Amino acid sequence: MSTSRNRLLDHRFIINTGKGGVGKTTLSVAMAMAMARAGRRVLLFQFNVHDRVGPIFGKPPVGPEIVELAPRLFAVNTTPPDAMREYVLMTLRVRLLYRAVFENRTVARFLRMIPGLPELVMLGKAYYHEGESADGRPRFDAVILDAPATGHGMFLLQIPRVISDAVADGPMVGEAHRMAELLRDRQRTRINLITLTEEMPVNETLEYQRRLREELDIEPGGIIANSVYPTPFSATEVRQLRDLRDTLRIRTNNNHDSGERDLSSMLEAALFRDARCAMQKGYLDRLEQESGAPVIRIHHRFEPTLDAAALEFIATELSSGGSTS
Amino acid sequence: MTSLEQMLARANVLVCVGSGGVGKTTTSAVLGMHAAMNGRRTLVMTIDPAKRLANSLGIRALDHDVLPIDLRSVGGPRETLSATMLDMKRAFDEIVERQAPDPATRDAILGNRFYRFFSTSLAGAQELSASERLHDVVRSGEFDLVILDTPPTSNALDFLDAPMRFHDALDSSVVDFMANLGERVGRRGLLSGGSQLVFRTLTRFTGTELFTELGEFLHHFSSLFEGFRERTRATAALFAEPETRFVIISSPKPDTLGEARYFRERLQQLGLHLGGVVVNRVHQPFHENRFAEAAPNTLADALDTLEGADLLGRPQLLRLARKLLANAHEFDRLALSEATAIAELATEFGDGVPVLPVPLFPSDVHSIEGLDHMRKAMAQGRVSSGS
Ligand SMILES: Nc1ncnc2c1ncn2[C@@H]1O[C@H](COP(=O)(O)OP(=O)(O)O)[C@@H](O)[C@H]1O
Ligand SMILES: [Mg+2]
Repeated sequence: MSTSRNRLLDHRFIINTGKGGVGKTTLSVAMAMAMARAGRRVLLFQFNVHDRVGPIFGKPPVGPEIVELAPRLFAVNTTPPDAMREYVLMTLRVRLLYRAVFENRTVARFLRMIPGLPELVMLGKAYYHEGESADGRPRFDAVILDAPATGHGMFLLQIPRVISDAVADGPMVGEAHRMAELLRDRQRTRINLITLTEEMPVNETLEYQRRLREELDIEPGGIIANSVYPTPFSATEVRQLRDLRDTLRIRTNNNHDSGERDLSSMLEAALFRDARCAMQKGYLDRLEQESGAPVIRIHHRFEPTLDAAALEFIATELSSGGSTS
Repeated sequence: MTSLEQMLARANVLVCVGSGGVGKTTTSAVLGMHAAMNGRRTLVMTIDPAKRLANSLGIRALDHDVLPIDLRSVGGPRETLSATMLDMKRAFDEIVERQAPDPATRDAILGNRFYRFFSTSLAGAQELSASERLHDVVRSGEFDLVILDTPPTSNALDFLDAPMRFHDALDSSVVDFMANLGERVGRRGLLSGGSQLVFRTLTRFTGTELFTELGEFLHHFSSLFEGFRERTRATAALFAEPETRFVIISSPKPDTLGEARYFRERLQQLGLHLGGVVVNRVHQPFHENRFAEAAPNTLADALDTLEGADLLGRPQLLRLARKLLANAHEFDRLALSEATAIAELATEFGDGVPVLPVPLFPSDVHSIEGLDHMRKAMAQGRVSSGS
């Protein structure tokens, strides 16, 4: 388990999946920061989002052109037509035809109806950058994919469906097979399942893991439990706090003066914190037991908005393989 | 009147929208429960396939059928509340069954291997199914209030645009284009120079088989388009009625609340009505607590007055006091930024739009009692108090 923890940031291609709001973007940025800090050139790859990453570094929102946001930290935010264009150009190598055919409005609509195609071209473009070289050496040491939240984060599953359900032959099939191989290559690729320690996200994560294994024969690199509350109070302290709260309750019989009320709410807040921590602990245990995969914990940050400084803390946590409490 | 009552009073349809993971399904259930407690015949339509809502409501499972929910265990009526889970695939099947021009076309569509993708994954398909079912139950007249928990789109705005995007994707130009090419595929010589180029390039990429089969599917599917357009018009009319209100469910994080603003603008542009905002899982503040800014010693002194504290000794009490303060401080930081963002939003939206904060509970809502507890917390918010 400890070896897989240390390998969290070792791969050349990292895919962060999970449903919306679990912290995919946050952790992707923090991973990129951690890698760039360690001297690696890293590309953060986002797919058609309303970009928040540029502003974190005091830059304009990231668009379809690759930009360097901080030393060695590059980012791109590609749109389906952009990814499609680059992908088609790479596979067809016919620039002239592209404009005539693929930029036709009707054709573009038609392409959107092909099941799995947007996912395929996105992954294709991301892998292209992973293998890209400049001046005789790799252009990037790592690519981090902040996966789209659509289709319940199940986008990887759609790719082989292209083969089985829709297409029998042709270049798309070949590409889909190639992608499936790359996803399975654990030396090169690491797929993280990001979740919160709450019931629904945990259920969905376990379900997704099962389907990745069964439908794609993919073993995710690990689960990252994000936004875990640190537990400040030991079990003994919790017991003491509970006793104190109870004596206060008995003494005041719920008719406390304002001083007692303030004291009581201090104690209640601590017990509230403990209750939420205990609940999270239950979900963490379940994740560990039922997934059989390493679960990396990232602490909740209490800053109102996560700026670059707050993200640096998460980057440090990620570098050391996550928190243990 | 409380904010909760204001939110419910004017509506006979409430559409709950918001990003995933903010508690949309639970909130929809609580809103429905409150209306039903007050005697209104209420249906909660959820899209949440998880069993948890069913469990919370005290039933084994929810499916496509409408099930009555007994509220007597929390002092409510036996049969004013109902719930149903929207099965996207089945809802779409029903649309096809209803609108296919003849049984042969219907079977050709339902049996096609592209159909599953079209009915569940194509942009807008889920929202189309949800709107359709909503339309049916409202028009049935069986309910005084219908609450729709919308699909977990990554963005609250998706729900408004989705039917349009679905149409856009299925624009007839694509169908004509495919049909045109498809018809002439066997006789390539008949393709004009331009079409031939398009066809040859595309199929180099997709393969001919995909191309022809998708074309065939679209040909059948296009027989439904007129029906879709008509249904979308009817649903649009239902959405525009003043008794149909959109409720935004949001987390108290400033960036999520920002989305509520965009949503309100979009509603205004479309001439739709905002029924209110529910801000779920709000942290409680400590800044008015006399100990919050005091030295740990002061808090330790206060703890020391409690019976049993003498067992602990001064260093231990001080350590506890420090941790209590750090904990309160962390919550307070969150609470303060949340309260500011909520107050700004409430001022901006004005008196006509109730903004209702719901506290973060120490544990998840798991039972009908839990739902009722949340309901009571929500019922406390007053319209005028602003918070
Ligand atoms: N470890 C964390 N501590 C505190 N807040 C977090 C943490 N991770 C994410 N967040 C917050 O949660 C929200 C959702 O995170 P985001 O990265 O946008 O999720 P996703 O990309 O998966 O939709 C954001 O407001 C973000 O600031
Ligand atoms: Mg994101």
